[in-house]
Amino acid sequence: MNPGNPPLTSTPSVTVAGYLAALDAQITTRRSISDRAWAWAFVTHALAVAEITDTALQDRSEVDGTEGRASGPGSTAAVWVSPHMSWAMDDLVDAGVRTTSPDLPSVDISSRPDVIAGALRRLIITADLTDESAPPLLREAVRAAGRRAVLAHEAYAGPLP
Amino acid sequence: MTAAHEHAVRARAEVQHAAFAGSRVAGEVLDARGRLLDAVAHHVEVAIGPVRVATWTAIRPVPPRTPTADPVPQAVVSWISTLRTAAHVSHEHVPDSSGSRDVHAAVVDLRAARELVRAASDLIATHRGLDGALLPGAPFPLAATDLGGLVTRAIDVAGAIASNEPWALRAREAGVPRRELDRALPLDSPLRVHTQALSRLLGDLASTIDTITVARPAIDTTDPAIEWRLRTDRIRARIEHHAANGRVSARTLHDIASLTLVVHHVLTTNHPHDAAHAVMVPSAAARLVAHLAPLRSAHPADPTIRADVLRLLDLAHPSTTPDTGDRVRILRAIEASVPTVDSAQLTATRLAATLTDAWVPARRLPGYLRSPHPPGRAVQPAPAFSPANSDGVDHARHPTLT
Repeated sequence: MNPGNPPLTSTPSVTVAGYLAALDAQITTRRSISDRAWAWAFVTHALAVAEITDTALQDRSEVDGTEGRASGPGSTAAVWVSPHMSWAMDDLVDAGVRTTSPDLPSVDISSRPDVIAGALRRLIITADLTDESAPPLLREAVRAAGRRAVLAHEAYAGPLP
Repeated sequence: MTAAHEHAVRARAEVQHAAFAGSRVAGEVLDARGRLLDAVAHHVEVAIGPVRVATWTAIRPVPPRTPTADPVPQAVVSWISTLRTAAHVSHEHVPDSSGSRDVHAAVVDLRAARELVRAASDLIATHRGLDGALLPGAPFPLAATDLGGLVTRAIDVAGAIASNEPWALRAREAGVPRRELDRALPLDSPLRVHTQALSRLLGDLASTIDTITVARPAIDTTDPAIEWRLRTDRIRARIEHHAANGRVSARTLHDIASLTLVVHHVLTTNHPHDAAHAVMVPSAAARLVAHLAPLRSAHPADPTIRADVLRLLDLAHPSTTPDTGDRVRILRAIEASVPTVDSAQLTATRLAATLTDAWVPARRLPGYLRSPHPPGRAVQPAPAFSPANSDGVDHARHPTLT
């Protein structure tokens, strides 16, 4: 599964661009492309899981109430993202990636879909880069992570711009 | 087995109507008959289960038989033993058939029947593990203790060729010495008597054995709805198999939970006002995903389940089936699979509560320290997972991103 606990810090809310810039600052300092790919997959996965669990809690409270439920548990498109990112991390770890998880700043719930889509696009861009010094297995895992990110983006946020 | 029975009946008729062209042809026919009887004995053993047959054989000598004891198991064991004996003596004492140029029509039918019986045995064997025990999810006729329906099909095949007399008369007519015939086809053979006795005991039972398919059918990818059903069935069977073996990877549990979430998401978005979709199972899946998110398993994922989940996610997404008719069919298939997916999820949730292979990574050790584990890894006890956690999510480890 996914190495590292998501140390979600309680910094003040920022804009989507500022949030992604903060993550960029953490992740682009990593030396290898595979480490960066893993970090973006980790970020995306953590955000998707947070959205899934939030939705589950929200729906539970609605079921307990008298108004009924407008949408069922897990009824967030993040359910398409979580497995692909989990599999991408598995592939990268199995190929030899050993890196620490980035710190995740707080983000407003309404901004979270944009952040997830943005993180997916950054993973796709990162996976497009080629590290000639990396072993073939690792290079293939990075490319596979990029393909998974494309699938997740199409399912979550539509076709790539 | 029905087709095998037809071949056996035809072989018997051919023996009654056409003489053997010499002792070598007779030997060939008797050899084919013995092999068919052996195949039937093997088939019955496979259908009933080697473990169960061995148990019945072991307890057979215990006297006295109580009035309430079921006579069928003992009769079945006796019949299998008689079949084996008949096949053995036929093989041991049959005349040499090497160099025979003529092929009697009965030989063709006997061999065809044997192939069909063996194919049926192989099909049933796919539902059993290496130890002969049934795999989880085996069809009811195999798992039930009422074996009448299973055995009657085999009785039909063996009964068609059980009587030694027609075969012995033709063989004698073809010049096979009487001494050899007495050993190969003894007229006092209990085969016919045991077959008839067992047939009377069981009666003419209806059987659903013919509807059994192989345990691991090839996935039919021509129809998305059928493909969906086959893959979800396979996922449930495999996770139950893992549960029976007591070993499963946290990665596989994550895959199952992901599938559950997607299934309920698709149904909820397509039938938003239908409250019939259960709340507890997807909630449990969400909790499981959150629980597993920061963990990493030392065991690789089940590749079959992972490939199936990947394909099912692809099928479930609207972009895969843009045609309205296909989309409706796949949605019906998804809805019909909810009990299967929920069952797999419940098994996964139960397994997660006893999971011991999940672990979290440790920091890299300095070069001068040696670790028994690969760099960057340290096996740690898996955090406890509570399936009945009413809070839904462990906020301490997974604070909401707000």
